[in-house]
Amino acid sequence: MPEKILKAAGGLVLVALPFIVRNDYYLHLIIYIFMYSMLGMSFSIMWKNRLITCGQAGFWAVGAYTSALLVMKAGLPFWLALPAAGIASALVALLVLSIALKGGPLQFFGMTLVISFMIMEVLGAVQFFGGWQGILNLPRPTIGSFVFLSKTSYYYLALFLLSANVFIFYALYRSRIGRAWTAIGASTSLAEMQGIDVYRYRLAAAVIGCFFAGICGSFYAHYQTVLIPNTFSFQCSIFAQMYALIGGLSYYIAGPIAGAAVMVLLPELLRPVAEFQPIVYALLIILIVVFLPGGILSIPQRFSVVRSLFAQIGAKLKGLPTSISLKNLRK
Amino acid sequence: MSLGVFLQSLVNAVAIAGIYGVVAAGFTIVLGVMKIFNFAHGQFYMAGAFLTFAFCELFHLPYIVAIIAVFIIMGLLGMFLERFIIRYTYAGFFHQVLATIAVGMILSQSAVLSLGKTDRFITPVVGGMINVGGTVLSSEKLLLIFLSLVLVVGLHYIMKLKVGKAMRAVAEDQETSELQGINARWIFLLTMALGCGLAGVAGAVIIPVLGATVPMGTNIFVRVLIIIIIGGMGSMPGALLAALLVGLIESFGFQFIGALNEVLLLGCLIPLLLLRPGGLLGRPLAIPE
Repeated sequence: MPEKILKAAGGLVLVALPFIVRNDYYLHLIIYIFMYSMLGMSFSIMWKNRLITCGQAGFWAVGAYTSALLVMKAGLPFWLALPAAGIASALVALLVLSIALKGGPLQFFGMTLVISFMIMEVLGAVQFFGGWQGILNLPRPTIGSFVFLSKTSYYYLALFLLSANVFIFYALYRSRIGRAWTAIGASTSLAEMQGIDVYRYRLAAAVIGCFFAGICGSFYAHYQTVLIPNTFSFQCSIFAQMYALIGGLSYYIAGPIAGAAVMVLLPELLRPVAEFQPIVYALLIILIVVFLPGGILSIPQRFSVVRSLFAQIGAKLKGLPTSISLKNLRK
Repeated sequence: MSLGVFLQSLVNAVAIAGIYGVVAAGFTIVLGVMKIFNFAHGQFYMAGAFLTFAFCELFHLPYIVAIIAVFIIMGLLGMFLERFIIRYTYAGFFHQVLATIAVGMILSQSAVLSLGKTDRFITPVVGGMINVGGTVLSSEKLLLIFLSLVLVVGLHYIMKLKVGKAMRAVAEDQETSELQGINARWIFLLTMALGCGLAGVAGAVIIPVLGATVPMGTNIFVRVLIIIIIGGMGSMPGALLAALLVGLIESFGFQFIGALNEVLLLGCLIPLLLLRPGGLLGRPLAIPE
């Protein structure tokens, strides 16, 4: 079974990565990739239902601030604050998104943006949350006397969270709920015809996505140890969408991971032209949107199309019958 | 609240509402006709303000000429965006949204690169204050109210013209209107030009009062979203009514609770959506598949 061997080898490489890389800065980048993959996946679980959220940054912030305040003001350990952050984020999502969803996907799209903007405004304006200058010196997670200080320890924490997230999403997508989501994604009216309560299933996807965004926020808070409201701006929500888009929108788990890897590593290449960075991002989006709407993971598929085109031309030259017509390829 | 403060707040409310109305109207036309969310709309507004600054302060053109030039340039930019980017995003709604986001990023970063992050102001156009029964009102604000009224009324008449009727027909049903002999692609181009031009002119109108800053694009975009959610997606009278409502809430909210008045908007939005999920005057608009 070569596939299983490959998977096991990949897992081993991931576990052993801190001993291979041995460079704190590269590890830092990989931790960021893991974190942003989680954020991107929380977007794509809603995209599976064809809900477009522009507010992942807001729910990320709710998780980060809940965790920070619970640890700093209530003195809870990080390991309790982590699930609490997820639950707080999910509760906020349940409260507001249940209303936003009533008006259909287009209104959901606008409302999530408004909500995340408002969350940022509240976090900045209310002194209890630390104001615009943010919260400094968050405590790091500890187990007994072991303190998470090195990048290696954070790497394993991030790897654990990401793999838990991937595992849960994978299980969800393969379950009855996931099949219902797939049906909704294909066509809402068809799904309704099959007896699927579209509103409830969509709300469930939104709440689950926001739960994981909150968990991711809690990790971010205790990794960065500094929280500033402006981090959670509109820009950040757009980035969550870009991870999913660049990786490939039809790849609900692998897409955001691949997209996050590209988006984290790209600035490293763009160091010399840092002020043009947003423009390069924008051009990248336009190129992908126009020429590669399936994302980078669809490149192999694209190549097979090109390959079949060549095969077709070859067959035509030889006078053989062709199975694929050019008209089908246009689609 | 004294009468003076009340009058001040009222004028402020109408002034903000005028700007919101013009920007939201442009956004609504594009949303209604082309069924896309133009995320670059706020950035067009910001670019309009910066262009006005450039025309008035660097080239010393008269204000009214600057407004017309901004409308033309922003309209051409909108046409360019439609013709060369949006037309090629066959993959659907979300891809078009991301394309407009990308254009917005390019616009705001170009503003940062060319003019820096400092706030820009132009020399007062009319200047001075007007005393109404003991209340001092800035005449710049009155000019703003006048100009935005002119724009809204002008838009109303454009929608009555043949072009405007064609736009409304395409908004209603693209295929049927094409069967009537309307060139929908040409209408898309014109719609985009009108919407983006209006956003640019709104920026030109606001600059004597508030000046031009880079984040103003994003800030107004959130307001516009609130406005079109309140008013109903794609409904023009709804957008204007909601703009007035939002202006009043913001202006009077600022008097009572200060900096948190933006949160008050959300506080008003949620009960309203509970009562009327489609917005005040709208019917739910579906995302095109």
